[in-house]
Amino acid sequence: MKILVTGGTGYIGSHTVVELFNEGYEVIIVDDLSNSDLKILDQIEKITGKKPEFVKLDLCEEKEVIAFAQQHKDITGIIHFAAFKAVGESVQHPLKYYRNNFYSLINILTAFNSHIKLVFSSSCTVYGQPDVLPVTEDAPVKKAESPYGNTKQVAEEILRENCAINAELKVVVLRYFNPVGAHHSALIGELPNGVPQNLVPFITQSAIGKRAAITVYGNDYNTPDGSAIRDYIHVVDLAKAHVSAIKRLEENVGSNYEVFNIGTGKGSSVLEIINAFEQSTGEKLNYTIGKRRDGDVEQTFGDVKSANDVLGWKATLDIQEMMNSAWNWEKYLKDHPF
Amino acid sequence: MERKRILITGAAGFLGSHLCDRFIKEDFHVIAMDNLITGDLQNISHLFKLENFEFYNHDVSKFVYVPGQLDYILHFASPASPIDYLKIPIQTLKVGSLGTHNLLGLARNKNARMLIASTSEVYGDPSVNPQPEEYWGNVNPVGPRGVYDEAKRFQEAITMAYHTFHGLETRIVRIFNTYGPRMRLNDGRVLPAFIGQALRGEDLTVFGDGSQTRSFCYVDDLIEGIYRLLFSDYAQPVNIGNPDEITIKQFGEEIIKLTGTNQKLVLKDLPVDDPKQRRPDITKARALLNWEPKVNRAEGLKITYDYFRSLPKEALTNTEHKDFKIYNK
Repeated sequence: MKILVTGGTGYIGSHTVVELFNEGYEVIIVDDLSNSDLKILDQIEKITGKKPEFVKLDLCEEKEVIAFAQQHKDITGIIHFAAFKAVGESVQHPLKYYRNNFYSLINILTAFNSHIKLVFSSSCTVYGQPDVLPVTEDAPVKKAESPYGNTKQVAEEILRENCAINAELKVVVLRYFNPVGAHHSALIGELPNGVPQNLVPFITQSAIGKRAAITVYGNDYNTPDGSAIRDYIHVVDLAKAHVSAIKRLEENVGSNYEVFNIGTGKGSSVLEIINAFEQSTGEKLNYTIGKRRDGDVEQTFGDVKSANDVLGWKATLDIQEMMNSAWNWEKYLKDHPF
Repeated sequence: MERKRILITGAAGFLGSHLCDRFIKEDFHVIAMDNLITGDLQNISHLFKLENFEFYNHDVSKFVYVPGQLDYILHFASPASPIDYLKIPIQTLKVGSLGTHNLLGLARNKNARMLIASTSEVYGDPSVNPQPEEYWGNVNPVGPRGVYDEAKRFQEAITMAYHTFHGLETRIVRIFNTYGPRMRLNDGRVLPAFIGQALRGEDLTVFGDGSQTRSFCYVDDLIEGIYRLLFSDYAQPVNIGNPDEITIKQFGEEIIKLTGTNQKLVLKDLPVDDPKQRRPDITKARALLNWEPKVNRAEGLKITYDYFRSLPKEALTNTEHKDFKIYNK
């Protein structure tokens, strides 16, 4: 069983490669290294004792992708992470996002002749601000707040429509909530590009002295402590969800297009996370209260019953483990800069 | 038994794609290579699903690496129609010379037998008719067609040198005018040009007075000849083509009859260095390979015409095949 992991040197990709190895899969990574580092391959080898096969490839180049597929007929499944993912940048450069995120998906479907098992990384952003919490997979998809969010919504449609006409294409879409943390070895983790837009990397960078005080964007939301609520999910749990998805596809049961929420099912507020970080690590954080950020929703957390019951996957790592692993990774990075 | 492994360059082109089909049919493991300058993936995409087929998007003018064992190499990469090689003359020279050199090196390294696609163009504008393999040719090295003709002549020379100096197993096929499905309507050659004009309802353009002759070989016959040559023991060049000669004017009339249209032939000036006659002497192929063409022109033209008719409408009106701008730096 050889699994192609696109974007496999990225944050979630690299953790998934580790979990695939742990489950005895062979792995081949393709990445254009536009937002990741080759050194990750060595780090994966340190953790698992195995170095994944790697091909540098721009998935937007159709002919290159076709040639790649033609030379790797032993690939039995694909986990497609490769995508641009910065919400703010997507607003500034929509074409860049549409080009990259759509061309890559279309080229993969073309090159693998649509006869493939594919796990697609989507996001809870497709729900916007849900009307009902926790949000279930059949909740309506709301108008996207950014070109990035739109690429995920439309990509899901592209896959659903192709599954409808092609029974040999089998897709599991995973809608992630908020992935945080790092591998417990602290050898891989998130490598934010520039100033982190997400809370946890900002917290760890602030604690280690790379950033000034944390800004809490809004304390006047209609939540118990006034700060926004998210469903944070440990990246290792998230990685394992992909292995479960691959297994689900191999079992060949159910419909050929399935969607699962991947989260803990519990919401945590920004202030709770700051508090949890201080409690878990013993580090003191400085923060100020700022205005709400455009495009941020008030609260969202997922109903993960389907992932538990159908996919057979459940998050096991709690907020403390998320904070500790994120902090250990930040400290590792300080001594071993990439 | 392990499948024999064959590398086919120019695999997405007209002849290359038919060779892929043939060697897949013979249960080879086919490694197809093409940089898609003039080739088209559509010609081989039906093979993509097969586990004994691989495709490499690569320019053989650059170092060629293929993992694993190789038993045979067929070098069919080159722009082959005058309108292409006049637009990319240097690439044409490079693929015939540097490309051949790279592949000969690969063949030596893998201990593979190599067959190169040469051409009746090595005879240039011949002063003997028909042309036997011993005829040395009449080529203008600095004329517009020189880039193709001389690349192919050099290709034969270096291939023979590898054979005599290194003892490499080599085969040289001199291919005469060939036609059939997967030719491009707009490749500038007379057969697709005539059929294209007929399908669009235009008059058929004849260059010169139409008295120059050609002989057309149907692609299946050619592929059979190449297949037999590859497994023969003969390293000297062998002509493969159909000796059934016809004037361009007669040919135009045949096409009009075939398509059942009522267009006329219109005459235009003959291009520089256009050969006045071309007809293979296939005595050698008959004797050594027990080969001769089987498909007559009426039959082959019918199949080819049906193929062109089945193409989408855009293909009929497409005048430009590829944008070669990136090569004009």
